[in-house]
Amino acid sequence: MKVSTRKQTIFFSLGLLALTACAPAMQPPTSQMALAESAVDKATASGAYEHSPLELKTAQDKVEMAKTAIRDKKYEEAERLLQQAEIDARLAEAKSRTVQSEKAVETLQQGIDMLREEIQRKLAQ
Amino acid sequence: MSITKNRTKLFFGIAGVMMAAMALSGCAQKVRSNAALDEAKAAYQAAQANPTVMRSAALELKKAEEALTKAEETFQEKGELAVVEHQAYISKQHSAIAQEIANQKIAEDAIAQASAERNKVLLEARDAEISLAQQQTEAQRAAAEKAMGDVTTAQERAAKLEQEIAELQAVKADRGLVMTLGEVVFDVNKADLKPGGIVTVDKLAAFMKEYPNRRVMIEGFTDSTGTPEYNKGLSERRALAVRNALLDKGVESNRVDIRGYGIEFPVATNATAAGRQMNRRVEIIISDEAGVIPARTK
Repeated sequence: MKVSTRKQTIFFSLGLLALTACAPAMQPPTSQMALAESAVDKATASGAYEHSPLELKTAQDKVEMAKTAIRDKKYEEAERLLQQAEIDARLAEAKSRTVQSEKAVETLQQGIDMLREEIQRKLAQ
Repeated sequence: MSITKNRTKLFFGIAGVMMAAMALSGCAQKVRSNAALDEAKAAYQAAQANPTVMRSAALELKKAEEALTKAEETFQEKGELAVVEHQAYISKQHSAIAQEIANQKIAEDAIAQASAERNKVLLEARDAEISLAQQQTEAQRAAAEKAMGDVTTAQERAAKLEQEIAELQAVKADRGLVMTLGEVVFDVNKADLKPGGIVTVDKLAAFMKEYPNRRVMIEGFTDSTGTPEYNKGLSERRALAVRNALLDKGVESNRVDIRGYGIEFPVATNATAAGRQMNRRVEIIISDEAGVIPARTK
């Protein structure tokens, strides 16, 4: 019986360890939620919906998943999702801006080419 | 009993191991897969290798490095895999953002360059237009000068012709320029040119060389003394003498025609000596620029 008690103690303490190690954060990540949503808004405003829809969708999905996690009181998971959503949204914004800049370069270059042709045509007359 | 006790012991032993395994697997699973971490490392290294990232996205790259360090430390300390993967993901996205910032920088540089290029092209276009306009102006000026020159040359040539005609002592008549060689250039009843006549013929030959389109008609006349046949023959021989003298000076034979009119077409009365002298003559009619000589009508 003495041996049995010791085994039970080990059994119990191990179980406790398993529980505490995975215990969720106690506070819902409200500030991180604000950051993520703000980043998504900024990305949308930068034209990400058109120029980097994949990254934007990822960010939006993660915000929604985080909301579900908060409802389930999985705050730590929600926090991570929101951190990822924020950075995904920032990437979406950056990509959107790059795409637009590159398009601007292309348009400008086309304008120059057209101008060149026009001049050549004029001079050839 | 012994078997039961052993069974109990075995049960607790297995349960204990299982619980320990559960505790480990729940939060810090076995060190088996680090794909996310590897991916994050690769992304970070790629960003670091991009000189534009180093130049324009240093802060973002720093954040990628920090998250990567956290992921790696957690991984090394056998911490939660979820934390490792989360930090690895954060790091990877920071690296991606750094690359995007670099791409933006490149695009912005290209925009600046393109704007400068556009200005350059516009400037070149303006210069080209100016030089084209200058060329046109220059061409117009040259054309105007040439036209002026042509006018001057024409005027000069006309003046020279006048001078030369004056030297030939030719008279402008209905049929053109007419030179009259009086009897003095021939001996009586002879068709040979005297030196005075030769001088006149030399001038005419020079004139004809200078104006190769002009032709001449040489017409001989006599007074009414003697038979008409003799006079006709004499007038032809005198005209021919002038022609031969011209040909000797190099005038082409097809540019010189002759007629012998004898007593026809008197210019004065044959009743007086002075009148007869005026009728004994050779007329040389110089054609116009086209080589045309109107026929004698009276």
